[in-house]
Amino acid sequence: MATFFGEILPVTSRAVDLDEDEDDEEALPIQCEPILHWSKRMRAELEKTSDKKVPCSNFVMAIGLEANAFTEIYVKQFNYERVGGIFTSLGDEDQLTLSNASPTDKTCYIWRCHSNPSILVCQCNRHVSADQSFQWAQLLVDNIELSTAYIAVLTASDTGGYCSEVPSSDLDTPFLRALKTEKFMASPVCKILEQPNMLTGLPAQLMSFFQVLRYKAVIYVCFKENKYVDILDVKAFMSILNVTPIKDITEPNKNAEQMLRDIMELHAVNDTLYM
Amino acid sequence: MFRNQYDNDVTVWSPQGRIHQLEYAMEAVKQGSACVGLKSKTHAILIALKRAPSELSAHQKKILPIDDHVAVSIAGLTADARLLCNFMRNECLNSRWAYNKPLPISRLVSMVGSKSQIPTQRYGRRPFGVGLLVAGYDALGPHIYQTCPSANYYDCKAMAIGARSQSARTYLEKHLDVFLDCSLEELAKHGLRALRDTLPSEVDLTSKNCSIGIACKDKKFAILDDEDVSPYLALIEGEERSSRPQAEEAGQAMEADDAGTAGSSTDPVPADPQVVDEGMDQ
Repeated sequence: MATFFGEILPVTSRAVDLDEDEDDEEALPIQCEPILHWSKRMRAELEKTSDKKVPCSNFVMAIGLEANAFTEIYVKQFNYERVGGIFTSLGDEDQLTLSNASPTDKTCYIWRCHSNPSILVCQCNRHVSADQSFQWAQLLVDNIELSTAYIAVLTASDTGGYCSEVPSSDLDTPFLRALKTEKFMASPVCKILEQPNMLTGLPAQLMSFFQVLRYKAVIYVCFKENKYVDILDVKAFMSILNVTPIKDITEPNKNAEQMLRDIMELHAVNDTLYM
Repeated sequence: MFRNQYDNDVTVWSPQGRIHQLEYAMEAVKQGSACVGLKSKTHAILIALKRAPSELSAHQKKILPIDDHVAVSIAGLTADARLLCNFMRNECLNSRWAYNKPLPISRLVSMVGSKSQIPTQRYGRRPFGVGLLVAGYDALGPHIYQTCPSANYYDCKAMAIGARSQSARTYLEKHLDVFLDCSLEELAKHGLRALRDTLPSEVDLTSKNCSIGIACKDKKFAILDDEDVSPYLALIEGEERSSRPQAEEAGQAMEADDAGTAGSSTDPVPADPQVVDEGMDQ
């Protein structure tokens, strides 16, 4: 800044106070390379296979709280066992073992159906950063035989990033949109995601992998308004239960209502930013 | 809404004459849980939905007292709401000190509007991310006012704000003509029904998730929680709820058959590509 007398003075930013952070250099790295860890029993089974890959006919991938809640209540109906997990972070709230201590822990576990071991459900409710997502997806396809499987990815996104001719305040939320790979020949149960909307992050990375590897995959995205987990946002995925082959591996859950309420309460308690 | 180059700052106009930061701030109100305000000739009431309380901490109040004759219900950023409430309390105190009279509600709301406008026109500030429903009783009778992050305020016959509040507004619009002549119990019933319409079918109004505030003549503003709400909830117990309109997607759902029926279904046709510019926001 030049003064009236022609001096040049440094100008401090009005917008942001830049505090010196002396601890930066000593901070431990939180992120690490993704690691897939199988349970002891699964490792023993894989030893007997030729390609060390878990066989799979149906793979349901849930990313985010809403999709996790949906798969927990409506998909994992028969007896499921936890067979593996993918770990990406060393943060305080990240679980590093196959047993989570709290229902709100940030986890990514792979579950297998007891009665039909070729059905796998992966529930991921931790954030996977953009630079980890490639390795994350690579781990998945390297360790699970998905070439002939039906793959469904469920995730949610905010309407804030959704482009449409209708003003966002007039959108009837929540609503589903889908994208699919070329090999997926059937029609999804909802409209295809319109241009110029696009997916980003882990869901996009997974679908890119499945498209390049020519797998049969569909992704369903629930566009929601609320920051918080809401019953209606979870139930937006319900139409997927009418779809083969998912309808053949699930059955109605009599306790669905109570489970929905419990999950909402669990997460609502910790969200106090907005009232 | 779509990100564009004119939405980084509240002091930036878009070529269409819009300030996007203000519009984004209005969305913050929808992150809060719903609250309903309505009035008759004799009463003004607020009915608010509370979030589940933590067992480890005192739960946050949704209806906050301002003065003996006025209270607010909030939806949005909790901290911004606290700041505005403190401001309102201060103004009411000053009025009582200076004039020995309660501050008229319209004047109080006007002051909130003026205060809220300042950060919408200053570089380095941001709009308040909270909406208020102000209910009170003064010399001119019962009042319901709504304030927004845009610094606008509205004198209302009835209003609902917060998450899924459109369902409540629809109910209020349908029954608007009867509110003026309602008794307190009838008014509370309408308010509770309107609030219940914002809830999914799996959740119902209970004494734990509901707060009621009542303003009337010659009585201090009453805020009811927990057991005190039960008598009013009993008034609508057993009533059928309005049916929620079915989502458009379910009606248009196509059966997806993946059991090797290649070629039997048509490829989906994406929408025509949209030019990404300001026109998208219209």
